Amino acid sequence: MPPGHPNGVRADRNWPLRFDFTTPMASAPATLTVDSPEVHDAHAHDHPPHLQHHFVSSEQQFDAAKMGMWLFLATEILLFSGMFVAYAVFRTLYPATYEACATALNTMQGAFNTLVLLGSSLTVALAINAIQRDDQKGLQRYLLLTLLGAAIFLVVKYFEYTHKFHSGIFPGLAFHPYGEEFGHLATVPYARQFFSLYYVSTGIHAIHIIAGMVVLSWVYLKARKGTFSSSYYTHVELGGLYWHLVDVIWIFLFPLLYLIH
Amino acid sequence: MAHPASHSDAAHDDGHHGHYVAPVSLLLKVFAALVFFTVLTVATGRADWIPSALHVPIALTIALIKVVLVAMFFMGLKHDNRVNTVILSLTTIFVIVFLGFTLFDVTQRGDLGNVDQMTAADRAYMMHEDSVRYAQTAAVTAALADSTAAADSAAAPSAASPDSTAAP
Amino acid sequence: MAQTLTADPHAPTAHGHAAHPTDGSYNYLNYDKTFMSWAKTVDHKRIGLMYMVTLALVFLVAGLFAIALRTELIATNWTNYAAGEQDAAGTIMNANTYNWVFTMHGAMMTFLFLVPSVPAILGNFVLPLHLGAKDVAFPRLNLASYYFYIAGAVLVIASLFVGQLDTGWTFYMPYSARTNGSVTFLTMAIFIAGFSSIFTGLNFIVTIHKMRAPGLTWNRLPLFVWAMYAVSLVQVLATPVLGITMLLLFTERIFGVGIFDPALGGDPILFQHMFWFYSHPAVYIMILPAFGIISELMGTFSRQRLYGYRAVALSSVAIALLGFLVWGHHMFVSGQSAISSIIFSLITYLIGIPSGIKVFNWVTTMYKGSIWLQTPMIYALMFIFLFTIGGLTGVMVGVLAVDVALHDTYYVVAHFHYVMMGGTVIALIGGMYYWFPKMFGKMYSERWAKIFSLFVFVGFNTTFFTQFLLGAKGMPRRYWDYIPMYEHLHQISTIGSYILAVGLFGVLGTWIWGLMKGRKAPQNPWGAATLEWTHATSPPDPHNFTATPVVTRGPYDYYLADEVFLTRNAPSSGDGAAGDGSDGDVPQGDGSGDGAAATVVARPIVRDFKPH
Repeated sequence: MPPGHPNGVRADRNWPLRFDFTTPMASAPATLTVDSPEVHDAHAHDHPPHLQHHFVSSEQQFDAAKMGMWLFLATEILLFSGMFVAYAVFRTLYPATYEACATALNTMQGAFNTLVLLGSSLTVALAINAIQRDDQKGLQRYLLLTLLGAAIFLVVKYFEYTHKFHSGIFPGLAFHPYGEEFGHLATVPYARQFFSLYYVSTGIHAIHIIAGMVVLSWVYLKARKGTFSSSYYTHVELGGLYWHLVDVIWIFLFPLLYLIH
Repeated sequence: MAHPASHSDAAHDDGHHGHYVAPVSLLLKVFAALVFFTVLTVATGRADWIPSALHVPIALTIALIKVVLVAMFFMGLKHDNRVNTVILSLTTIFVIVFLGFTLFDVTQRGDLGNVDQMTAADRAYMMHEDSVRYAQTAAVTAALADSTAAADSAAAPSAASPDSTAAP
Repeated sequence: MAQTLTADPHAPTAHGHAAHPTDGSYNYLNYDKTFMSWAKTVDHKRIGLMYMVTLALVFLVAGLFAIALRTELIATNWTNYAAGEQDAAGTIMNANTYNWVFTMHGAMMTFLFLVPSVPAILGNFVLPLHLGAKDVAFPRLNLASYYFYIAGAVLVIASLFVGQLDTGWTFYMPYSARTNGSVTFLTMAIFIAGFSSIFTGLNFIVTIHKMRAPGLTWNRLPLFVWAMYAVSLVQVLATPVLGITMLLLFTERIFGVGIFDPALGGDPILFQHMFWFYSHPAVYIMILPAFGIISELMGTFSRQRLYGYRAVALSSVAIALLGFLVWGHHMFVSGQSAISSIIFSLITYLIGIPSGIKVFNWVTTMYKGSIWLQTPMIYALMFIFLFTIGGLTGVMVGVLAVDVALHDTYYVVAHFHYVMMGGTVIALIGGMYYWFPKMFGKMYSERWAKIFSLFVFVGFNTTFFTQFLLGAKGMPRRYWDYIPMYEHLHQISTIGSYILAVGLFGVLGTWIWGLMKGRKAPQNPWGAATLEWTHATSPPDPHNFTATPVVTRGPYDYYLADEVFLTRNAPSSGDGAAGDGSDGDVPQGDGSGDGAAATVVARPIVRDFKPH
């Protein structure tokens, strides 16, 4: 390198990160992958069919997809965090209201649903375990079981909702409780707000359950066609991660809404 | 073909292709633990002998343990690329920041001694004071009106109200 | 002399099927010219251009709103009610229309222009090129994010016809629960456009983690990439909270859930907390990418390795993370607790530290550099001047006691326009000029670009510096009318905005002229050292690089890049003067040998190429 430069380009100045020149250059490929739309198929035999052209290896593709999924889960957690913050704020402001209303919710239904969701989380984990061992039948069986768990959760939720609707417990301005079980809530100040939060947060959670069911059904259809194997099961893994997140959200929603007296 | 850079931050130790396969027995054990904690949280949530101030911390701690179990074993973070754990931790930190600052503000609000900090008793007292003052003012006004009317109608300078005579 | 690049971008390919010319004549723009090939493209470069056109339209509409506002304010309509005068009609619009227009100006500029601007246009175009990658990690998600953006933008446009939204871009409760129906439209639009932002950020983070070329370590990433990394973090972590805020506002309007509405037991300050938890970090979504552009420009046009690389890189991340802890400084007079205000004010000062680190490092980079005053550099210098004013006044309004007086005055308006317009938009224009040759393979007219940069600079300062004075004198923001004592300053400001508009249309004109009539651009007109200039043709191949580059040096090692530049561009005669470059079409040498490079490497070859 020229030691000095008439125009101020200082070749001799230490690059502040010079230790970094010890990169895995030695293992760098001597010939490089070349790609253009037309020639893509020409060397497709080099790659497994699921490998997209802009990735170098299946491993890179799988890692990227998984990291993307985790980032998406991060956004989901922050989405729900807004509702948790609203809950925490109003619980602090109106503690008596929140206690009275939480008592009115059916703890056993909530606990049952918690167990159902935990069980479906287990079956998704088992589905991934099955495909990692190339067990196609096991994968399909466990995916179906997961979908069944989701369906049970929604059915229980349906009965919870309709039971409340019959006593006039609606979200928002339509809230007008009556009857033996819920009538006393009419005198509790801001009870409407608790039930609105309840409906909004469990409602958005239920939408996520439905979305998860759609995703897992799609994965199941792909699994039936035999798309997946122990070397390629990205969709199962990502669908599973999403399903676990739905479970994680419920793990927090359940004690906050149903339990804390 | 190995791709040096793409693996630069991958914690995937083994160069070979396989991923970590969680044994079925482990998954079942984790599930059993989760069921146990669910029962525990319902039990503690209903127990009356626990001071009510502890209910929220206990429930949240149990929920946190359950979430850690799900994340580590079901979601496979224990054997996964560490960057995914970093993502989850960072998210949790930001949720705490969001929750913490907002709750702190809510609990401290009115710390300038403005209206919100008044107790119900203060407010009732103030309203009472207001109404008394209002009643007095009304009475005085009425009396004044009466006296003026009386003075107008009678046109008698001697018919002054006792209030006006009390003035020095 | 060490061979610095092991992979020659123009070497015959390994597979031997380089069916297309590799000189840039076969490129991402022309390999398929049908409409559907654009509408369904997953090529990050094409998506970047699609964003560019769409955002230009949004900027035009929102900018015309701004011109209408300034025109309304050119004269006072002050009504002396005491003397029995009736309401004035306004200069060009009535008060309700004014509320509508400033709301749409703010909402469109913020959510539809500034937030996506640099990441969507330049981030999409440049980031994979900087990384030596063929594309972003999830190309289809990238296209989906564009269409989410379009859906959001269409809803915003539709809201123009539903009702005159008059809440201001902040949708403060409880007014936003009471006013007309287009609030519902706007919340949906912003919710949907938020997906676009999240997907872009998610995509970029994964791309930076997983798609770097061999040898491109974290410490060799161009600072633009570092800035995009920081901004993507903010996008992923903050945008969902905006989503839930908009969703709750939506339910508040539809059902009356009583979370924000005080009449139903809700807390309107909670709305502000949730809104600013997103919208303050969103300010960094807008300005951080601009920092990245300026870092690139400073290094390249000073012909000097960027001073304090690591400090600049990490300060981006520091700003991104600290930016989450200061949202309450928007709420000093909202009724939040005084102790919260004090804490938020204190943390706000901390943001000044990483911002200062950046400015000092840019200035130090220029010290003893070989400064080349091309248009991008002029915009970079303009950025430093304007951003410093905007940043310092930001510290001033961050002071709790000062802000109580200045809150909701033109002082704040001027402050954030200096940062957003003088920062982000100026940097975006500079970056557009810088990467224009790479995008389109054409050179713009340097002379006209410089002339219009003068218009932009003079117009901008005339418009907004007067607003500092107005604010200090107590002129409140968002007012349709004012008392006569403010009239002179308002008139100057309005005239300035017209000059600025002329400048911005001129900038657009130079780009269109360059596109139509510009001379062919060489591969590396600026002598830059990042991969898109050293390894990709202008415009790039559909797959960016004909061979995956292998990186052996830092992004600002111009003295190492010079060799490449020279072996590519030097006349085959090996003449030490390296040609006069007057034809602009620098011959693409085939690396005729180290000898030629060695003789000329000490010369600032880049300055011999004069686009005009």
